[in-house]
Amino acid sequence: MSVPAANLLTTASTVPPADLAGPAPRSRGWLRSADITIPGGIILLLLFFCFIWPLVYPVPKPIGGALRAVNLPLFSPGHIFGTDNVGNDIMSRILYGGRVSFVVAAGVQVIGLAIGGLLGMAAAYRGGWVESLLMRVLDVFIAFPSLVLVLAIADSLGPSERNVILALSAFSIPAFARVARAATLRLRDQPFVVAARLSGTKAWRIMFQHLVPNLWPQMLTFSLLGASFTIILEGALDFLGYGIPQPTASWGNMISTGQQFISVYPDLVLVPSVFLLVTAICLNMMGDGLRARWGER
Amino acid sequence: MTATGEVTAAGHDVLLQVRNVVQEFVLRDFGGAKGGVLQAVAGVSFDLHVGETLGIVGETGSGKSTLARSVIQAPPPKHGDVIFQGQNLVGLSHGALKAARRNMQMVFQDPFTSLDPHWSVASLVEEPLVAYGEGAREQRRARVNELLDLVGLDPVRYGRRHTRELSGGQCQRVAVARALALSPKLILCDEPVSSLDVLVQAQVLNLFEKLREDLGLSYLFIAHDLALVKQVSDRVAVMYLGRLCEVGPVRSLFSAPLHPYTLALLNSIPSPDPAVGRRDTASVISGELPSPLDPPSGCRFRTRCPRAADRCAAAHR
Amino acid sequence: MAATADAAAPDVQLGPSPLLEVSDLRVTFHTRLGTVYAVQGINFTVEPGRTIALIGESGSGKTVSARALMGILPRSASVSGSIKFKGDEIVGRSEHELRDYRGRCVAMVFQNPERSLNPTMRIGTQIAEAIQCHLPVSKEQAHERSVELLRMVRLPAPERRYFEYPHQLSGGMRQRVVIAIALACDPAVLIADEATTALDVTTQAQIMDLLLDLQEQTGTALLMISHDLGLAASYAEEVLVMYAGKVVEQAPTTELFASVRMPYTQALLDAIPRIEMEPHVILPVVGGRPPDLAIIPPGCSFAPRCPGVQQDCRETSPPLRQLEPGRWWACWHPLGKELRSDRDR
Repeated sequence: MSVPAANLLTTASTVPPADLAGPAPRSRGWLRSADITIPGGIILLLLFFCFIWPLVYPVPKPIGGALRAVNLPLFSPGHIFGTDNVGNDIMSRILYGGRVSFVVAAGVQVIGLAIGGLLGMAAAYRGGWVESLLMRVLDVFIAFPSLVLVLAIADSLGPSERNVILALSAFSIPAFARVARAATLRLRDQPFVVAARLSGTKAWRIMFQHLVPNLWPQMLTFSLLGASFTIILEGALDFLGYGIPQPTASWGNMISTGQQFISVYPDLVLVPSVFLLVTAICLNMMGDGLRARWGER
Repeated sequence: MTATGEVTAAGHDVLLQVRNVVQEFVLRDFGGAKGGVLQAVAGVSFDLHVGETLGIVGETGSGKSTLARSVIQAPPPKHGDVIFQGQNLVGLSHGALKAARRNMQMVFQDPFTSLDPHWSVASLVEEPLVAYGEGAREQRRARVNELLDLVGLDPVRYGRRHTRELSGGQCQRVAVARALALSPKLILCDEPVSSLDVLVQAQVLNLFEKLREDLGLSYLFIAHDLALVKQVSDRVAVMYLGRLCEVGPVRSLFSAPLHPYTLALLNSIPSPDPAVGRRDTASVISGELPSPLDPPSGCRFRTRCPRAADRCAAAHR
Repeated sequence: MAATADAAAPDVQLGPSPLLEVSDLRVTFHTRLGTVYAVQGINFTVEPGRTIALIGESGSGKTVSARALMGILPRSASVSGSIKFKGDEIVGRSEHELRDYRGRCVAMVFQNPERSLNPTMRIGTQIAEAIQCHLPVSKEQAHERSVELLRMVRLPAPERRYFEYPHQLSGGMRQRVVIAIALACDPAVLIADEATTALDVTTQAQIMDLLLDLQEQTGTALLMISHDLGLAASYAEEVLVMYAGKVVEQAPTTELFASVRMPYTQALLDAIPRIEMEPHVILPVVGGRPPDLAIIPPGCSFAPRCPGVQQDCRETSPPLRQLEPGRWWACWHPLGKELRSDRDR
């Protein structure tokens, strides 16, 4: 039974089209799964209310409250979450404070990803003394108890939103660098990276066109998980008096100032805490869901 | 046993000379201390001629894959020389090595991990052309289409696909197309068909043969399957624990093996002919592979060889 | 060796009664991407002391069938048909009942010994655990039996090895340990699912010899699952060839290799490089890929690739029929004796 020469290299062209299409790319499915869309939807809702809603609806001012309306309880007329100890509407402080918290969280994650992620990846790819040096420097940062380090930086820089972001980045940069390094080490010796080197591709091209696409899902989920932690850390900074100065609101400093009145007016602490909790849970769920999904591939 | 400078039908010219290559890996104990040195390749020498296929066959721990990586300098060997087209690749600068690698490419064992899953087939095949700055975009595209046709993949249908949409055999063809992009003289094949099904394996082997004939390629073909190696090779080298046991022209090596390990390998292959039945158990080798960290002195095969004598423990020939 | 065929006349059991009777076994996976018909109705029996090889490429359904026999398919699989062990139905049994059955009646040896053995447990303990799971023996008795099993699988210095961890053993030795665990409770059937695929050819020969010697000693039936026809030829008494979820040919080994009927089997044989062949020969090969198991085509699954395909092959699926004593095949136009002379060359 000899086979004609044309069959020597016959590919799937002899097979009916149904066999040719492989399974649909699975990454499309993630947009539809509940464990990502529901928390994602909640976060989007929160972002909408914090950033967009005050632009279209006359929300009471978050500062300069009237002393006659001090410490109103929840669901008071005109103040759905009540007012705080100087008469500011809590609801609007939540909204404007939410802006601050989200901006800080996003800023810290982006800086960590861009600087830490890149450093970790580049160092791991280069290997040798460059990598060792970087890892030792990062080890120094990580060895410090995170809060102490952040406090030291915040203290020396002074309290402001921008400085809070910088101080917290001192924590996120080493964290991202470690994750990026570990992930890059795993990828570096994979055949497709070796093959790219053998094809003559330059190192920077390999890093950005081969490593980054394979790394970024992991980095994204790590940043989502880190974002919620950052908000809480920012709250701790405020609590200790190093963060966003009053009267500007942030969820963290609302909790810290409200803390003094917790036995008498607990909503001052509870309301921002609930928002913080919901945000943290949603970000964590999204991070977990995305990790589970991308881990499949 | 030394490599014979065999005159092959393809020509006399030596394309690749490997001399006393040694490759070592330092094993770290838990905590980072040096735990021992693994000599994966312990002094290997051979020649490869233009147009020739040299098959390297060995089992686990023989060091054959490491040898291939040493030849292509990824990573470079600890000692020894690799002379390709008259130039010693060991110790070359980055730029010179890149220039030399134009003519030497590699195909890996697992087609799925040797191709970036995020890249399309066309980009993967184009990558070497981009890296070496070969021509303008149009010319590169044309060349990619030409290469895909050469390996039997329709460029229109497959160009935009990704590896997850392809089968193992198709992925391996893409890998071959990529390896051919710069028209190399030598292709190192590290177990290229081991992870493929039987029928697909035959398709890919035929592809290798056809390319060999049409393009005059030389291959260094690594495999653990003796019958496979016989199928594709002109000469065969048998490796055991980092050393070559026997090198010779394919027909004579298989019909009259000189080294006991080669004989043992031949006898262990189950034949698709029931008349042959179970092989004679006595000539199947005994014992286990010694640890590569502490190989036997002298001839490394002596601990399992049915013909071992005292002098086998003395210096290696 | 009898096997139930589609148009069954009552079988006359000449030998001992079969241990395993598989009848119209179908396994379907319901996944997010759709339905996959992994096994589409297979029948065979396993008798005591016999060695049978189930051969197929990836996607043929051989591994899924083996797992169905062991009852270890995932939840997404729906199994229909019948698997009878000594007359008792296995399909549809609860997990609790299956735990008794697995290991005790039917045991399995998997492909990768690295993955089958717990790296954090001593190997002796792993064997003893398997014994104590099924038999009411004391720890000391289990220890003794474990050492005995290690000796049976020809592991040197078994008393010492009892206390070693898997990473201290080579691949071949680990596979021996896995075999020891499988045989711990004297199962009637041993399934070797690509048990030697990950091993070197020399080790493979040693392990296969061991399995066959053990089989002679203990009378266990051996079901080999593999893609390697050469292995089947050398070690099995009967061969079943699977393609796209169905058994397409079945015959005693010598007869199968002497005269192949199914073109797919012939394609497999042709595609294997042989030591006897001359180098640089272009292998006769069929194009294409195995079919997508999400679709059951109307005709023969091999039709798109078959060199001898005819119109009726595409229209109706040929059933597996016994057209010669002891031989079954599923082909409308099987390769016959008159073509043999061409292929001999």
